[in-house]
Amino acid sequence: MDEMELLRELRAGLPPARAEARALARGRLVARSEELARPRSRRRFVWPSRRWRLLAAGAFAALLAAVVVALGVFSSGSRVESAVAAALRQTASVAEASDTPGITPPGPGQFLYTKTEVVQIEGWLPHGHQGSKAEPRYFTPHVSNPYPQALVPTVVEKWTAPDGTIRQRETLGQVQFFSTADQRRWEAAGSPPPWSFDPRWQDASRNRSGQLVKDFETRKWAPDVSFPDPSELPTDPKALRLAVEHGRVRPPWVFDVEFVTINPETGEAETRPKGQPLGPEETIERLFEILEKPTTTPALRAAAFNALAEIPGIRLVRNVTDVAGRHGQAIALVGEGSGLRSDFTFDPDTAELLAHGETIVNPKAIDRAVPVGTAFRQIAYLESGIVDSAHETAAEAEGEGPVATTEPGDPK
Amino acid sequence: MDGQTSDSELISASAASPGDFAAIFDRHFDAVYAYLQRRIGRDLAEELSAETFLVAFDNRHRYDASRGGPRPWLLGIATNLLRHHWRREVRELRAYARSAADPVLDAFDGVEERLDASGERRRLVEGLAELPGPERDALLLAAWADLSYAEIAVALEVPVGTVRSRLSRARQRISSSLGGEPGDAATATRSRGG
Repeated sequence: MDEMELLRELRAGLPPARAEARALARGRLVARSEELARPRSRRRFVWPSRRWRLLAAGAFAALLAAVVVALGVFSSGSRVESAVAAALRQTASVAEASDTPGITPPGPGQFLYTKTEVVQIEGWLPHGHQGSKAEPRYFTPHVSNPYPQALVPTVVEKWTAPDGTIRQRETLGQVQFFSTADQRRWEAAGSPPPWSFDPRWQDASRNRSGQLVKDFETRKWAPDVSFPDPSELPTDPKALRLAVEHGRVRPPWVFDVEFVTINPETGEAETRPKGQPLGPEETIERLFEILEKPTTTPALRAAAFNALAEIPGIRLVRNVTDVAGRHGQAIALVGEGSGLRSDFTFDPDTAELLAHGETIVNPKAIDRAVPVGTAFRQIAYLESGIVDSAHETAAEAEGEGPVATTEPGDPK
Repeated sequence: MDGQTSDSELISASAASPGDFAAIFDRHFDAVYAYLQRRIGRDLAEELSAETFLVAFDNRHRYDASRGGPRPWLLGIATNLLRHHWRREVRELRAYARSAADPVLDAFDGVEERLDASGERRRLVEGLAELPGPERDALLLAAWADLSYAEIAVALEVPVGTVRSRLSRARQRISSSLGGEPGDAATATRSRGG
């Protein structure tokens, strides 16, 4: 018997998936597809390629609740300049004058380094997960009330090579519950980490600071989508907006081109009728997808902000603070019935995108016992740049920090 | 969509009708789960199987029907997700090799395990544990998912030549671990499409 035959015999005959596990998996898929099929205005914002989940940053609660202001509304049928449009055009001017070019794709031996901080709400099941052999202490973003809710921060660093292979390092921050009693109870139980970092289920180890870290190699499914070519997009604001609205801006700049709506008469999901442009909210989302790409140039950034300025009814939130403590402004989209508001936060002084996330405006709608204004999920963009090593950060490459040393979990 | 609709048609239709993708789940979940369970055990396989189809759904617009059916694509996603757990996989293979008790089988009562008086299975498992991750992926996609060279190439997004090289090296290493020579590739490896 040769080695392949021996391998085929190894662990053969295992039973099929348990019915409950299969049903749970299918339910998650159906929920995702139903979420996508809802009309945009009633759909919570989901960025499927990032598997974003709603999370809350408790630190934002008071600030966001205090400073939400809708500024300016275009009068019907005319392009009256409002305070919002003026603010966005000012940001566009800043972008155009920037001497920071868009990132060029990494060459051989180089990597695109990005660093983000993700803060999200997760629920803790003190008595475990029913129906499995999982340990009693189970912590996951999938559970809502009545289980204790906490904010879970994670710093995500990625080194993306030209061929799409990625070194990814994720570092778990300090978990914070919304009540002192829950926090103490969790600590008394041994401070069990979230499932995504639990060493019993994941390849996680502790760094010198005692934080749980995952360090692994992965790759983008389609390796050519990491570095979209800015020359593909117009830098004239009107042309850019029309290109977005009419579906001519294609992946990888935006996630999807086809747009699904629900026919109000039949209740069936259908694609947008040919020739019908995207609505304001969809256009805003796609313009921020463009702004988010590291290869976006100053001219393209200026065009995107000027295009935003032309969108009727756009809502600007001033004096926003992101999870990293940075101040900026945010374009806000409120999902009717979803209980969430999508925020695209930027720094008007630099025209840089700071963060993207969802803020809870109606906790009951999402069945989470957390304050209004808590971020359901926030991603803050911290660093990006080209580096010459998968062990170097963008700041270090610019001489702004110590040279990285090998940490536990660093790939050999 | 009826039962006669092809996988490619279902995936294509799911762009406008996202619910159609559930049929892809119904057709391929068992195969994805079985492969993952064999590699990493039941509990993690349950989670990663679910994640596989969510990732596939999110990336369904990138599915290339010209490269064949979706199973290699799905198994490629599963393999990619599994890379986060290579260390655990190796740890459990080494534990199995040391103790002759397979952690993967630990979750089940009554699953038969062939006695291995000669230690051959232990040496096989040791050899698996020592393989570089990409070689182990290619080898187990062939042995446990029954993919051809071309299908493995689709799953791992590498050229067929790279698949051949990885499989050849992996089999040589395993054979060395077993203390023998590599078996006849023509008889031991599926030749369909490869």
